[in-house]
Order: sequence, then C-alpha cells, then structure tokens
Amino acid sequence: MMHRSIALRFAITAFAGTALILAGLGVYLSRSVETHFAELDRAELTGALNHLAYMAQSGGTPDMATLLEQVRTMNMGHGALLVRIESRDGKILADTLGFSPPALRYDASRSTLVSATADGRNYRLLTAPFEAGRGRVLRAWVAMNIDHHQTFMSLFRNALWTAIGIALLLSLALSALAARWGLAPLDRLRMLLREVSGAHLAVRLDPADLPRELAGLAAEFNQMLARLDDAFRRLSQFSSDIAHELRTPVGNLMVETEVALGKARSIEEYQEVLYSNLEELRRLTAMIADMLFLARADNKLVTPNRERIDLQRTVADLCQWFEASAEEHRLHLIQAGTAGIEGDRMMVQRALSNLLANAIRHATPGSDIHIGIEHTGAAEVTLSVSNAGAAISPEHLPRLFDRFYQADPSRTRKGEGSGLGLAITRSIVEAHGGNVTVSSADGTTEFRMRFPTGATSG
Amino acid sequence: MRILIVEDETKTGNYLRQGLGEAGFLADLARDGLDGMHLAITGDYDLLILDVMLPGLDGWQILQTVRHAGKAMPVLFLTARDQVEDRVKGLELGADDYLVKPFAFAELLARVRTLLRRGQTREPDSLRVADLEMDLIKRRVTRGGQRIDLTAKEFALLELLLRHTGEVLPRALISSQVWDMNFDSDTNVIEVAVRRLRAKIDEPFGHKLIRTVRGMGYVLDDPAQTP
Repeated sequence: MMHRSIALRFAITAFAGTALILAGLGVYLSRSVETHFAELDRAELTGALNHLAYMAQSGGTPDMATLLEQVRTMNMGHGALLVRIESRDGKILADTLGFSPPALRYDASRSTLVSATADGRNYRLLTAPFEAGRGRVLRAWVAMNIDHHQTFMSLFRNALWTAIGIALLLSLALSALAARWGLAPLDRLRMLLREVSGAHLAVRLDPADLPRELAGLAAEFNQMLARLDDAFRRLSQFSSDIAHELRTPVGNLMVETEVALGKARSIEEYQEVLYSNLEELRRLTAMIADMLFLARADNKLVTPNRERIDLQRTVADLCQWFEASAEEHRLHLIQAGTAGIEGDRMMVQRALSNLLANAIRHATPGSDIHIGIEHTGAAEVTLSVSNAGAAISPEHLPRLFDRFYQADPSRTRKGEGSGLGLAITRSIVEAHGGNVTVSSADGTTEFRMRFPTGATSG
Repeated sequence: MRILIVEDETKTGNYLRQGLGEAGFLADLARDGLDGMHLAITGDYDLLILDVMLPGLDGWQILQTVRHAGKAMPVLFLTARDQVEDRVKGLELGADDYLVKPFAFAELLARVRTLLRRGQTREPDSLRVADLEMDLIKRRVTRGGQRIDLTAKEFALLELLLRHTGEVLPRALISSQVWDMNFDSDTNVIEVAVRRLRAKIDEPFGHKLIRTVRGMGYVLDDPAQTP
C-alpha cells in the first residue's frame, strides 16, 4: 500500500462517492423523463387508435379516406398524426405514413409502441388490429413525430449533465477543503512535536487540545516522550557518572606518578608506586570491561548461549565459591529448590554472583542468606536471593539496577565493586528474556530473577 | 623456549617481548602479518602469540598457513574482540588458547606456561615445595611431616599453586581453575580463600610460601630458593 496523503485519500473517496451518486441520479432522471414522454405518446396514440376503431364500427363501412382524415385531425397540436391501415395480409388500404414501419413480430391482439426514423425524422408508432364491420379485421398504424421530444430530451440531458459536472467540481473542492480542515489538528501536532529535541524532552501534548481521534495518539506520544525523557536522563546521568568514576582513579594515577617522579627515590618506593598504579589500573580495566558489557547488552549484542542449566548445581557451585567470603561475615548461605532453565551458564552464574556478593555486603552479620529456586509459572523459574539487613527505602528500589546508583550517596565505593554489578545482573536476565525485581520490607531485602524455562529470547 | 610474537601495536609488542624475555623465554617480535608468517614457518618456535588484527595477513591466515606447513606448535590468540564467534573460529582453525585484550600480563604468562607444559610432563604422584608436600594419590598434604586438613577447594587451590610453583597466578585464573567461575568478578572471594589456605599451611610454620603480588595475583615459592 502506498503512503498517499490522507487528505488526498479523503478527497478522492468523497469525490468518487459524490460522482457515483450524481451520475446515478442523472441517469435516473433522464430515464424517467423519457419514460414519461413515452407514456404520454402512447396515451395519445392509443386514443387515436381507439377512436379509429370506434369510428370504423359505428359508422357502418366507412370510407378509408374519411377515417384517415378524422384521425389525422385528432392530433393535439403536435403536427398531424400519420396513419396506415392494412388488411390482414399486409395490403395497404390507406396511408399517410409514407414509410414502412419497422418489421416486428407483433402480437395481433395487443397494441405495441415502437420507434422509427424516416427521412431524418423520429417517429413513435403504435399498431393494433380493429374491426371494420362485417367481421373484417384490419390493422392500423398510428404514428407521431417525436422530434420535439428528442430536442427537449437532448437539451434536458445537456443541462442535467452540466449541472452534475458543476456539482462534482464543487464537491471535489469541498471535500479537499474538508479533508484539509479535518486534518489541521495533525499539523498542529506536528508543530508541537517539532519542539521535541534531546535537550527538550519535557514537551507534553495536551489531549484536551486535540480532537478525540488524536487524543489517544497524543497520550501514546506523551508516554513515549516520558520513556525517552527517562532513558535520556539516565543516559546522561550515566555519562557523567562514567566521567566521575574514571576521573578519580585516573587523577590518582597521575598525581601519584607525578609525585613519584618529583625526586629520586629508592627502588622499593618506585615499586610501591607501580604496584599502587597497577591496582588502580586493574580496577579501571574491570570497570571498562563491565561498561562494555552493558553497552553491548543495550545494543542487543549480548547473545546468551542456549544450554541446559541445572540451577541447583549452579547455585551450589556459587555457594561454595562464596562460602569462605560469607563465613568471614558469619553468614550462612542456605539454598532450596531445584529447577532447570535454558540459557548461558556463565552469564547466569555472573548474574547470581552479583546478587550474592551484594547480599553478603549488606546482610546483617550472623544472619542467613536464602537462595531459592522455584517454579513460579508454567514456563517460569524464579531465582531469589534474600538477606536480612537494613531496609532499602522504596524510592531507591526501582533505581538499584541503574548503573553506579547508590542508595546511600555518602558511602564510598572503595573495595565494594564497580557499582555496575546489579546493572549487569539486570542486563543478563533481560538478555535471557526474563526480569529482575527487588523488594525490601521487615528487615529483609529480596532480589528475584525470573527466567523463562524454555528458549532464551534474542 | 622460543616464542614468536606477532603484534603490530608498538607498545604492546614491546612489552610482550620484554615481559616474556624477562620471564625466561626467547621472544622474537614480528610487527606485521607477512613477517610473522615467514618467521613462523622458517623459525623454530615452541609457541606463537598472534594478534588477530594485523596489517598484511591477519592472525587467522597466519595460523592456517602455519598449520598447513605442518607446524604443530601451540598458538595463543590475542584479540580486542570478545565475540563468541571469534573464539569459535580461532579454536576451529586450531588455535590452542585465546586471550581478550586488554589482558593482565600475569594471565598471559600463566597461559603461555600452561601451553608450553602441555603434554610434556608425566603426571607426578606428588608435588613438593620446601617442606610442603602434597600427595596427589592419597590427597594428603603435609608440611614438615605434619598433616594438614584441607577442604576440597583448599586442596584444589593449593594444588594449582604447587603445579605453578614460582608463577604468579592471577585471580581470574584461580577462580576459573579451582571454582570453574569464568567471569570477571569484583568480589574478594579469592582473597578470602587464599587467606584461609595461608592460615593452614603458612601461619603455623616458620617461613611463608604463599605470597601476594600486588595487583597481579598469588605465587607459591620457596623463599629460601628465590634469588
């Protein structure tokens, strides 16, 4: 389907409709006028024939010439009627017609109306048999010139079609106008949307300003703008966060190196500087790798392998991996449930590892961390990690998965990971077609990762 | 042991040659694909380190030519691309290992040593450093004749350190080899695990065998023998 202009489509549809109706009307009108004339003519010719029959019967055996004369003068002002009287075998007994009527298979008992043209003139003829005394049956033709009808009809038709043509042109213009007028709100919408730009995403359309048909569209636009606004804000927040996160270690590296080079030092001192730089660089490298992973996930470039993952085993492996670390905080890792999903084992490990690291970091020392595996739907498995600890206030919850987001801005991140762990967890879960949520109440914080059990989504 | 490095990035090439040279290898450096291929075929190298993106010939082509010429030395690929397809392609073409840039030098060194050792040594029955002995058959560890009880993971960690005596093992390599965790993790799990192992095999004894190399990883060696 071509993307023609809506106004053009409206106009064409309206025009075609009007044209069809007007043409139908024109045809109907000229038909009925014509029929009306034919009826009039038939009445007149029938009258003449009846008169002829009557005269023939009542007047004994009339002279044909008298008959002719009587009928001829019956005419009601449209010029003389023409008459031909034939015997049954076709012999012409009297004739003012002067031409042969069209040959037709006429019904001997009924009168039939026909048209004929002779010498460039148009006639309408009616024929019927009649009794002419002494049982003799004759056939009479009565004809009248209908040129004046034809002339009228052609004038009438001309006038009619001209009027229809003008009406059509008018309707075309009107429908074009109507279309343009009807679509004017779209133009307004366009002008409003033109104001939208990266720096100006706060524009909202007022549905009350727009016709009913566009109000829904405007609402959708508003929601889209809100989502874009949010995404854009997060993105620019992310950019500034990156700059900030990178600035600190790079600044440290620079100052440290400058100071080290400020005077001659012992080998041990140089080594110390290099070691310290190495640690800083390692952190930077890890952060860059994480950011790359997230960027690729954002661009849907992270494609998980599809393999069967035994979650019970995966969780057990991770618990073993975190065991020592948990014990340092006097924490117990308790796992329950079993299920299998299809996905990327390494990525799922990583996602869960980030949640576990987070739980160990924030759990109240001496408490238990529960890792649950459960079927939460026909084709859904939920992996949950819950720990006891200070509740996270509700306004922070949805943003916990944002990059570099910290519920407590005053806390330093030193030694606590890159601040990208939960964002990576979310990217991984979403790359698997699942979702991750967090809730915090009554001193328990719980993260829930929901995975579809079947194939991973792309 | 002779190693050929084919790397066009000047700084990377230089530090690889210097680093491997200082680690005791004879390292040659080719800066483009054609030189690299020529050297690889004519020279007698025990290991190739190939960058994938190279001027002239790329790493894949060098690998194919080298294998075609009947050379079976191990090949380690370096690439900035971390796509799965690259990994699969490299391994299909007969690469032996694969390292994504940027990488830690300790990681490279550990992998180079593993590749060079592959298929060479007979599986030993026991490992020993100083007075620390690990019986691989009875799965028993003693130090100075004194039995030390280790958990399965502690045993695996110590075994890894013993098998790579004198080599710095990066954290990523340890988590991959001991726990089969093959992802970057910002946790202190390895630190804690090593600390616990030390508490058992080092702290009760006179001299410490496990050292932390800051920013790089861990190494187990006999301080009495290190120069």
